[in-house]
Amino acid sequence: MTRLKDFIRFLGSYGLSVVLLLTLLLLVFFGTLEQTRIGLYEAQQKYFESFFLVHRLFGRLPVPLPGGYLLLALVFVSMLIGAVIRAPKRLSRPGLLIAHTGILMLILAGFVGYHYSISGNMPLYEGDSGRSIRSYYDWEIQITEMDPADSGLRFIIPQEQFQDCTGERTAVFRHDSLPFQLETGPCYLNSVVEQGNGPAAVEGVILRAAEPAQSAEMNVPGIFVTLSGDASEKGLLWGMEKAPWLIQANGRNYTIALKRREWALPFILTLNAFTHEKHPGTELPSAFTSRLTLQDGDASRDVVIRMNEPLRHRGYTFYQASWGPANAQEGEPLYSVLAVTRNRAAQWPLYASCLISFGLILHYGQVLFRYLKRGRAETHA
Amino acid sequence: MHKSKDKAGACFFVSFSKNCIKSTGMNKILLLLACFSLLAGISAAEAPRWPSEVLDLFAVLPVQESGRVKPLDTVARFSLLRLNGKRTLTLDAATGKRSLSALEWFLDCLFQPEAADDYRCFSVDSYEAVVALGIEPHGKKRDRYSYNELRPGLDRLMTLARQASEIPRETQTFIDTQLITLANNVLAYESLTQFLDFARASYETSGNALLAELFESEEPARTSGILKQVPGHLETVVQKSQTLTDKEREPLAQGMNALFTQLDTLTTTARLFALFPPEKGEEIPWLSPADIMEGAFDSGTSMEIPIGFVQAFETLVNAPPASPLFLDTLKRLHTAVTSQAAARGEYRHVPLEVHYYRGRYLFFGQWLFVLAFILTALSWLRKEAGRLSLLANFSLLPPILLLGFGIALRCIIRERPPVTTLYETILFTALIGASLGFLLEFVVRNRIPMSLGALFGALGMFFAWRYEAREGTDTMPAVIAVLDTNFWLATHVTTIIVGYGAGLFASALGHVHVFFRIFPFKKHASPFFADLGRITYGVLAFCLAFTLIGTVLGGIWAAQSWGRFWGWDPKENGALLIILWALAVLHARRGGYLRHDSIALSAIVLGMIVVFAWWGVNALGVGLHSYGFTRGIWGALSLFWALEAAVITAGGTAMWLRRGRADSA
Repeated sequence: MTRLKDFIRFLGSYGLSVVLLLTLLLLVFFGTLEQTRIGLYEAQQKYFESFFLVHRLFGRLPVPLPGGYLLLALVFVSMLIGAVIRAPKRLSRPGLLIAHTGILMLILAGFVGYHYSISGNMPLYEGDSGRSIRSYYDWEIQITEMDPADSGLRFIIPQEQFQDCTGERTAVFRHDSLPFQLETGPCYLNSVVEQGNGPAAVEGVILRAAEPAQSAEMNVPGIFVTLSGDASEKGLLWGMEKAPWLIQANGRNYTIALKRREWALPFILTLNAFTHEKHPGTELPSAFTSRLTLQDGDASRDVVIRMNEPLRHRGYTFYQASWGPANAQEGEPLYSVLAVTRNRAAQWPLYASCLISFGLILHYGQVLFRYLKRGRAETHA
Repeated sequence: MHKSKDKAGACFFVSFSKNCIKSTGMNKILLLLACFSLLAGISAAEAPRWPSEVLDLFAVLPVQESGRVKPLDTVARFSLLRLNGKRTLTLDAATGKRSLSALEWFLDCLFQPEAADDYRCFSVDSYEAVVALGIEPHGKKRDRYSYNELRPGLDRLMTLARQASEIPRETQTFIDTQLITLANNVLAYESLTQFLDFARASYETSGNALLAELFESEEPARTSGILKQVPGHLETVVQKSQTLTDKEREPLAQGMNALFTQLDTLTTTARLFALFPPEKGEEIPWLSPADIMEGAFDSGTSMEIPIGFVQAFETLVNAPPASPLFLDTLKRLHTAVTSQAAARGEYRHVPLEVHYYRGRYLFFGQWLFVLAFILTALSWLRKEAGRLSLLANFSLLPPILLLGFGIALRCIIRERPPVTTLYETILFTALIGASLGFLLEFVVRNRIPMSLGALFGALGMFFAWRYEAREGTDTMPAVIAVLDTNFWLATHVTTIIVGYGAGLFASALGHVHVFFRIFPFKKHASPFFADLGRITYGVLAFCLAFTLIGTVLGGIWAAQSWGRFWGWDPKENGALLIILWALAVLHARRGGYLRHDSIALSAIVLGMIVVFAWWGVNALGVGLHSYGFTRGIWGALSLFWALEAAVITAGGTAMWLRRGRADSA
């Protein structure tokens, strides 16, 4: 029991909090510098969303560090014990308690957002309708049974189930409703297609691994796939392929494609018009505006999404993110890119920041007041 | 380079006479006087001075440039600053040295380019760049050169600059960047001196079959005349040409070709400034002379008023600056442009902006900070803080107010909160540091905060001045779409910058602490160190509170605007580093691990982190906060961090040694 108490006291100690804060500081510093080398997404995954990592100091010296996920979890526990549970509950100085509660809420919001939110985008040309969100980074293998009424079954293999198939490693996928099984590997995070021969060649074409792109959403993955069962074929799935791979098995037609991960929306958005304005005489953007129609069941209404003015509907938030094509000529049709998120904890940081601000102002206001009061008392003495 | 000038010069006198008579109907005596003054003014090095009334009118003439409407005075100031590194130009005229204001120089470039070509306005940091052009350098390593001095090496300059720009930025040498900068400056200067070529241009009518049909007089036509006459006549010409044989059609085609080639050349140089507000309120872009020339040939557009603007410039380029004709034409042009701009609601702040720069609030503020610092230094001659130190502290108030007033004027002119650009972060940080010094002096009364406040203000203003000169671009630029929200700019950015200012002030207090530990003017156990430690702790906590609140506000802005609270962007991480360090220090203090001496050293580290967050992450060149990328500052930053590391090492060693001695005693 004493040991447990000591351990709890250690968890809530100033010493541990200082060590955790300094380690987090080092991690953030290294992670920030690494962004110039490996890009924001890679650095974020390696440094801030991991449990452990090895940082190469000056590109060489290995330094093992706890990852951001683990550190924030430890900071949460330490703060909860030290600053909330074990902290003296003095009504005369409640500021620190309130501020720490706000920071705990902030970390909790980060946790909920990381695990339970979705984020992606929806590119739309004028006149197009969007029924789903597309992931920035995640891909999936979509196997769709072709049906004249477009009501065929769709089977999804998410990226995390095939991304580790590098080198000799493969993975096999089967489903009772499918007349074939699918073996994936090798899989490349970023790849190019070129002519070549070998065991992984299909009709004189092979996939070649490319260096990961600086910006992770620019990666184009590729997978070598072998079908067995009622269909026995070899094929290449590549992220930039315009048409899916068509196969026949057991008298039925299927398409197989490697696509960005999609989430279906319970409503439809149609882009009526997109305008982008620049400051006169410059290339500086001054405003982006998407005018859309939101069709939700039988109800329909017009909506406008601008920079800093998102649309919120049924837990989803749509932001004006960008537009394209980047090198569009005058008069060429443009598409608008809406960033989409669904995060149940989206408003928590706002509440947390109110708590933190109020707590800090209260605490330091009291500290200053007491300092001045003491100074006056000393002067009178 | 001024290809059209010689041609314009050849028919200068004739066309000027014609314009005089046509425009104002002045009598012959006035004409002769004007011509005489014109001839006197042609001398290259001795361009006639601009009358103050003319300068005042030009100063408040609105121009739409880089996305906003601003006074011509501002355009002139930053044009000269970019080339010269200063907003005034010193001339080595035969009559002795004299100084030209930016506007005078700018008007000389526009109206008297032959004279401006002799002005030494190109600042070159190293004579090696000049030697590389095959030009004999001046005696000094860093000096200024005129366009005429550089002229023999211009072709070489363009070749070398092109080669240098093909080298990756990180491997470019100092000379490479010098050559690129000089080439860009020369091109900018040429654009300026050629801008009014459209007004100087003349079109031979007698040798041109097309123009001969339209202009009865054999005198060359002006651009305004062409724009008025030719577009309406083109359809008739086309119809007529269909009835002609190939041989009959040829002179007409040649005339047309010659005219449009000349107009095409002129539109490339006449696009630099959009000087004319469109009549329709819903049209945002103003018209440059090139737009007017192109618009005149667009059948759907009425160009009567804009062509009047072109005509006014034709009169101006051909009249001597000191002549009544020049003044009269300028007044009419000014009234027409400003009333149209005012009707569009775009002239409100133009005179105020001229007042802001002419008032030189920041310049006077800077020197008053220096004066205040001298007074605070004098107050140290007395052993105890007394009336002199009170006076010294209050001497901080005028520069603080001047700086605050300058920032307030910028807010009114831009209709924005105080901080939207990197330049404004410097001004605001200086204001915060100086104000903290002034206020803290009333709390601790030991003359340290006020001295640091004065130093902070003076150094901050000096830094802002150098930064502005280095960038050489308008410090009130248009704001990109994602930043176009005054609420978040006012809350998030301002709060963060208050945090930066406080962090740097805490660092300054730490330096004082270390200084007195290294140089033992105070006893080891003096309460001075305890007082200093307490206020350092207070300012550090102030820095934490503002940086934390500002960062969270930034997160909420990001969540509201593009859907994520935190994205591990370098700028966000920079602010987080400040928060984490300040939190670690405050927790260590509460845990009893740090005392006053260590707090002082920690405050210096905090300053290093603030500089990384403020400037270092901008130099990384990645992330979403792309409005503030800064190149070529790693050298200066590394030097700063190395010096600070040396201060911490020296301070830490001195503290350790003195504590050991104090313990043994």
